[in-house]
Amino acid sequence: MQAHQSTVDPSEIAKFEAMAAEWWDPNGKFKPLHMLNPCRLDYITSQIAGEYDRDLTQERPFEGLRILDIGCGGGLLAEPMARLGAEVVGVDAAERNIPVAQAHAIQSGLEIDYRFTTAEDMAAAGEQFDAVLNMEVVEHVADPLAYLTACQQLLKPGGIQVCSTLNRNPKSFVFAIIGAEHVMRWLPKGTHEWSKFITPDELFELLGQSGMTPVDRQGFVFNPLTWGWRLSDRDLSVNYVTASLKPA
Amino acid sequence: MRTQDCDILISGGGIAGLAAAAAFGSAGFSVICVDPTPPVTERDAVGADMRTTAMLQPARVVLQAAGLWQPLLPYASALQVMRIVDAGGAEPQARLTKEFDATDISDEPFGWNFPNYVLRREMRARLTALDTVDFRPGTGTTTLFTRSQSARVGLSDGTRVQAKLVIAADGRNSPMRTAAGIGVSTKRYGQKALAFAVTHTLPHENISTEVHRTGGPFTLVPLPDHDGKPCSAVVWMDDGPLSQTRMGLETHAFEAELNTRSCGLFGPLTLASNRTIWPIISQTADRMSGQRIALIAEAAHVVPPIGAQGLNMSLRDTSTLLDLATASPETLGDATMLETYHKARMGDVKLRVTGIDLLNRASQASNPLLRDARAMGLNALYSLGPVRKTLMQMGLGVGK
Repeated sequence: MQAHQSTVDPSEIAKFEAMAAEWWDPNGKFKPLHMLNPCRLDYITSQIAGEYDRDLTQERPFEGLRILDIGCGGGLLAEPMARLGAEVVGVDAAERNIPVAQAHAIQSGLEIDYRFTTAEDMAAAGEQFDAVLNMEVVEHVADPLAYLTACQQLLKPGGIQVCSTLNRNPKSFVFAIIGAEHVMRWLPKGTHEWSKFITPDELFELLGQSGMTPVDRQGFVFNPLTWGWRLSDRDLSVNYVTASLKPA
Repeated sequence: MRTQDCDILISGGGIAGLAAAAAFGSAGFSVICVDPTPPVTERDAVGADMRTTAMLQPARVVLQAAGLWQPLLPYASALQVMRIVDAGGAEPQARLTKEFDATDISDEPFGWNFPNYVLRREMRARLTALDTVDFRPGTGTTTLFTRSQSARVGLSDGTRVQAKLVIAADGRNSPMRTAAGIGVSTKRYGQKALAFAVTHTLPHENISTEVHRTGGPFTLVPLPDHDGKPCSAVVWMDDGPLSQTRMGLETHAFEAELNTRSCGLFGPLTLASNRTIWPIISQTADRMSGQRIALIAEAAHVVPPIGAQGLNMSLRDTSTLLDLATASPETLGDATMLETYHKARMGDVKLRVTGIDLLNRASQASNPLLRDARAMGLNALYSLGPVRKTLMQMGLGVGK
């Protein structure tokens, strides 16, 4: 990473740091992600800790675990994982995100291996992880089963995948497309294509076909009164998250 | 780390846990049952449970389904008559006696009484015979991690178990209930109960007798003869410090107090076992279930030992769960099943805990006026035939 950095133009670095500041501004362009992030992190950390019997009250509970964050963006998940002691690789198919995330990791004093690549290429290269974070990606890919199969190949036997996406029903159309993109302008118009959304049963089916054993599903529920998100085992009607295991 | 799969992990190898293991194992579910303490199955061993348990009529159905009824039958003492004696006057004398006769409501006895150590012994033998059940005494639970599809329980031997359903039968301080984040509401009475066995000169004729006096009831429950003499199990509830003092008395001094309190019923009583002591509380869990976990028995509800309700409530928990599980084995432990279990049991549990709390506070009363009012109340209630029958049927769990 250091070597890579030295080849970059200093004015470029300033630009990336500005973009990183944008990614990491809780009230900026990525505000909806920041609002959801504590809830996502809560779920991810409890699932990984539960799977590997780690005590989250310890200083670096994820020491010794290798974690892949797919669609890492500015590193909003990768950095907390690294802080918990994990060896983190963050990949993004959008090339511009990589130097941005790198710039912020350096500012945070964290060592994270960010790469401009895809899950499929990583799998082809034979990379192996204890946990794969697959958050809000599957609804954007052309072939979900091929993509989830790559994610499965990236896991060591017994490894855990956390996968979140959007449900497909009238409510998710209203909330995720009309609400988030048009009314609240949380997300750019055209961010999501409703027909590519996947129901929890469909996702469990796909995960099963990819060679995983689904073990958990919960909803991320937005509460307009507290203006925050919480986990729910009842309401998976819009945003939801799953955990699945690769058979040992 | 080794992870073992099963349908049901039962935390707790007391009578409720062992009965649940036998019931689910007999129904074909794969069961692992763990308890940090091995069951004491000998009468005179240190730590032996001197209490007895009355299995009321509906409990028999559960025990039959669990394959336990036949092996237990030789040790059963029928409960034909329940006698309530009020000794609430200034002197400990029987002044009002009422009897419930089982023949008033059916041609069967109210229930059957068993020493707890015999229940444990026979249940353990049944589990050994079932290849669906893996009973691991000496192993405790350390962690609980639940997901929508399964629960994972860490064990003290370093292994872990993945189960579709965890049954918490691990007592009033249930570690699994705590791990699941389910709270309780508790009521303390300042009472402690002593339990022990006595022999006596007059036969008990299968009559269970409660002698009520300030401080709490003194209950004699029929047992099979011991050393050729009629024998009864005694539960003696009183203020905590008094019970604690009696626990430490020498046999001779203890028997003197004992015979004063028994009002001479069945003739002189002779202590015929160790004594055990435990605090009396009422306690109800906030919910009967959580994600992938069901609470049964004292993990869900604790009542004072009155009216033989405790274990019979527990067996009702087990039979409710078992009915739901056998009706739809593929949804064992899922959110719908456990919500149904919670709703099916919570009302009945609250009703019984409240009722027994009232009975206990009435029998604890030291105000002579209250005491006399209670005597009058008991007399009035017991003299009304239909009301008596309804009360008895409620107590038996057949009225619903």
